[in-house]
Formats: sequence, C-alpha cells, structure tokens
Amino acid sequence: MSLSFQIDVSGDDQVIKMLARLRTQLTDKTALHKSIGSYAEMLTRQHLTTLAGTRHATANRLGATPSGHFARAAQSVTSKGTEDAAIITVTSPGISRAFGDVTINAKSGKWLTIPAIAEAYNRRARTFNDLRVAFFGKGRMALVKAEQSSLSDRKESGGRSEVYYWLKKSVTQKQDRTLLPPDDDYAAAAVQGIKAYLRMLRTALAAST
Amino acid sequence: MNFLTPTPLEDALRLLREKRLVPTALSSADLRELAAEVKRAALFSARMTQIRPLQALLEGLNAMLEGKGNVADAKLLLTQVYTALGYDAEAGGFPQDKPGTVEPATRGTLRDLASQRRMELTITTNYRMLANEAFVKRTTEDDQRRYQFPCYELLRIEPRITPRGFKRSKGGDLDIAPGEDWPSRFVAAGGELYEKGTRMIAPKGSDVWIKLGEGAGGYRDTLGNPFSPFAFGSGYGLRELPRGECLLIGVITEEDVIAKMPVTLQGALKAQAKKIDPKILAEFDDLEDDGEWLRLAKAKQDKVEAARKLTNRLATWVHNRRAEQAVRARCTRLAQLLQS
Repeated sequence: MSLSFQIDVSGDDQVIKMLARLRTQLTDKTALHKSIGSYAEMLTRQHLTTLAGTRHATANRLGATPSGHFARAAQSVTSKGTEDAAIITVTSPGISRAFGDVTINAKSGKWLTIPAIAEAYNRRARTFNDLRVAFFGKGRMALVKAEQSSLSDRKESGGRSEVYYWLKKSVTQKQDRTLLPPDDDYAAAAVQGIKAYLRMLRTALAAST
Repeated sequence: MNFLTPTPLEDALRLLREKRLVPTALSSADLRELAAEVKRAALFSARMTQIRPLQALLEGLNAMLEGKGNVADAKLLLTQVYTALGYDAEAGGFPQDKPGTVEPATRGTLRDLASQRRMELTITTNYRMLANEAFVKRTTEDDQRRYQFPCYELLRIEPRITPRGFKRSKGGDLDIAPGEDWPSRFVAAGGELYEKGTRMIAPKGSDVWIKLGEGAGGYRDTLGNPFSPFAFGSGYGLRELPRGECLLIGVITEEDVIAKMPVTLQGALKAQAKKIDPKILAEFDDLEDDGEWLRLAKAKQDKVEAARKLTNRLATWVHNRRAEQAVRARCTRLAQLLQS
C-alpha cells in the first residue's frame, strides 16, 4: 500500500504566526503550499535514503541481500500544493506503518508466507517448485523442502527441517513512526518552504519596481 | 500530518503506459548503440525475444508504481511466464525462438533471464528509470520548482556491497578501481566538484547530466539517460539542492540564466505580492540560507538511528545471554541427573 499525507503545522508557534499573517492576504495559496511541499518532499526523500543505508533488520537476520525497499520508497516520494494543503505522496508498501499498527490478513483459504532463510527473502513461495507443507509443534506450519515434509522423513534426518517460509493467517506489524521524519522536522521544512515562498514574492516585487 | 489515501506514482505510471513492448535478441552491448530516445520509448530487456515476459514485466512494474506490488510479486509473474513458455537458458532461451538466435547462457548468471539476479536487475532498473525520469521531468519543467531548487547533486542513495570505483579481490577485500568511481565520471562529463572535491553538483538541464548518462570518458556501462540510474546497478542518484545552498556553494550566481526567475512565474508572484501588506514582507528581511536546516535534521536523524541500533544490539546481546544461561542451566541439570 502507498499513502499520501498532508502537512498540518498547527502547534508550532513560529509557523502559525508566519502562516496566519500570510493566509489572510493570499488570493492563491497553491504556490505557497507547493513551496512547503517541495521542502517536505526533500526531507522525506533524505530520511528514507538514510533508512535505506542503515536498516536491513530482516535481511541481516536471514543473511540475505537487502531488497532495496527503502531506497525505492525514497525515489517514489512526490509532492504537490493545492489551495488547501501541501500533500506528500510515498508510493511504497509498508510505509503506512508510520501512522499505526498494520495487520495483514491472508486471503480466504490462503496463507501468508514469512521468509525464514536467505534464499526465501524477497521471493514468493510459488517461485519454488519443491516446497511442501510441514507441521511443527503448537500448531505451527511451514514450507520446507519436499523430502522433509513428512514427520518420518524429518526423523530420519535427525528431526531437522530447513524451513523456507513460516505460514501464518495474519501478521501485525507494530507502528513505527521512525519510518518518516519527526513532526518537528516537517514543521522546520514547512518554515523553509514559507521563507522560500516569501523570498520569491520579494524578488518578483523588486523586479517590478 | 494527516493521513489521506493510498496513492500511485502517477507521473511514472504515465511514462510506463506510453512505452511500447519491444522483444529483442540484441545483447546489452548491441542495445547500447541504439539512440537513448528510442530506448526510453520502449520496454525491453537484452535477449528477451518474446512478448509475454515483457507483458509480465509491464504488469509487475505497473503494480509497483500503483503501490500494490513489490519486486517479489513482479519476479513471480516473470517466473510463471518463463515456465509456461518453457524457457531454458542453457538450451538457448525460448523454444519458440529460431535455433541460434540467442546464445546459450549459464543458469543462474545475469545472462539467464530467469535467474533471480537477472529478474531483480531488470525489475529494479526499470522501476528506478521510470521513477527518476518522472522526478527529473517534474522538478525541471515546473518553473517554481526549478527556481527554488536550481541544481541536482549526484550522491549515493542506495547501499552497495561493492561500490563503483572498487573491485573485490579474490580474498574478498575491496581494492580501488581507478577511474571507475563517480567523481571521475562526473569530471569526465564536464562536471565540477565542490566543497573540496567532495560534492558533485550541476544545474538542472546541464549537459553534464546528459554526458554522464551517455558515458562520456569512454564508460560502457551507462544507460544513456540524463537521470539516475546513470549506469547498470548504480546506487547513485540525484537530489535537489535549494537555491540558497546553490548560491552559497557557488554552483550558480544570481546572474546565471538558471538563477533568473522565469517571466511567467514572476508575473504571477508579482500580482500576488502586490496584494500583501508590505510590512509583512519587510518582516522577513533576514531570511536565512535554507541548506542548514536539512543538515541539522539529518544529524539528528543519524543520532536517533545510532541509538536505535545500539538498543537492538543490546537487546540481541541480552537475548543471547539469556539463551546461553538457559542452556547452561539445562546442562547442569542433565549432569546432575546423569550423576544421580
């Protein structure tokens, strides 16, 4: 899933003062919001680029090559200004976790496949043609290599199965607000956007006199 | 911030929908000789001679740009088509091809269309080209945006195990590959390095970006585009620089054409400015440069990230320590049982 969000800078004194004075006199707020959006876009891109270089928890745990998810998210950030708001868009699955817990449910009659080894990471289970369902204690189920699927086979091999994917009906990913920059940084970006807009107005005015 | 709705990457989707599917038996080296404009209007991949895999690639990229799919989903689509068509890299590709059209390739290598590495490279390169072509168009063609952010900086945006400019020795160490690094390429393309040679910055619309993509200086791994990725597998990309920072560093001066306010933008702003009380505008006489705030934000973010990593390492250590203690306790109990 991807998302858009609009920047609400209420609560920051400096911004409120600057905006309040301006808003009453602006006949077209689109250019102002576009300016704010540009700076917020830049901040969001930089934040996600930093995450791309530092966060590879799942890939590291499995010993896999990172999927480049955050880098792609950074490159998908866009912004626009409307009469009412500055809108930032991030087209990337998983970023909505920044706003709250996300529960992913398997479709009816299907299972979610959670990678358990490097080979399975960033790859759908259906791209393997030799995986079978195996049952473990406490109702746990997994996809393992075909020859390890039956309990007797696993006993013969010392009870060890190499699990490729764990099967689950649903997974809840906890909210992670650090996926996006903090509100304070967005407020600072908004201030920069307002300042830049005012500079443009002054330049245009100076050019006309 | 207010959460709104799921949103696709519209500009890039538009570019994807304009592309023609072009099956080809040409290799990467052969394709290099084609004009960049021709390549940008097409969706293709070296030695992909059938249209169905291209349709699957299009479908996968479409889902990614709509925010409804990822690389793994796109790879699944391709794998299913390769299986259905009976693709076999070692037998010379697709059975539908005339024998001898495509050279046999070793399974699992980049020349094997169905290998994980090749599929990932094809999908991610196309995704990045679409997203960044849309980014460059949007941020260059808009007058206000170009005025506020007149330059791009080339810098690392994706980590790489072996960065360009280095090669792996047999022992796995990183050795320098002279001349291959991005600063060398940037200079060969006519670019100027700033801040003691550490930053690669040039104005938007500069020939530097075109030449960089064309491989000026004799580089043969480039993709022919004036936007990132400039070369196959590159982790470098473009970042916009605010006007204040560009002027401060000296990439542009107020006299440069790129620094001038476009007439249409000036007209619209002038009309707006006349309706604002001059006192309000006068309050902002000392507007500061806008580069510093971003550096401060990044420094703060780096500290948070460092603290988070430290916490994770500590948690892992505690977890391992507890596990170790539990094993020791079990061993002691087992030893006691055996003795009894």
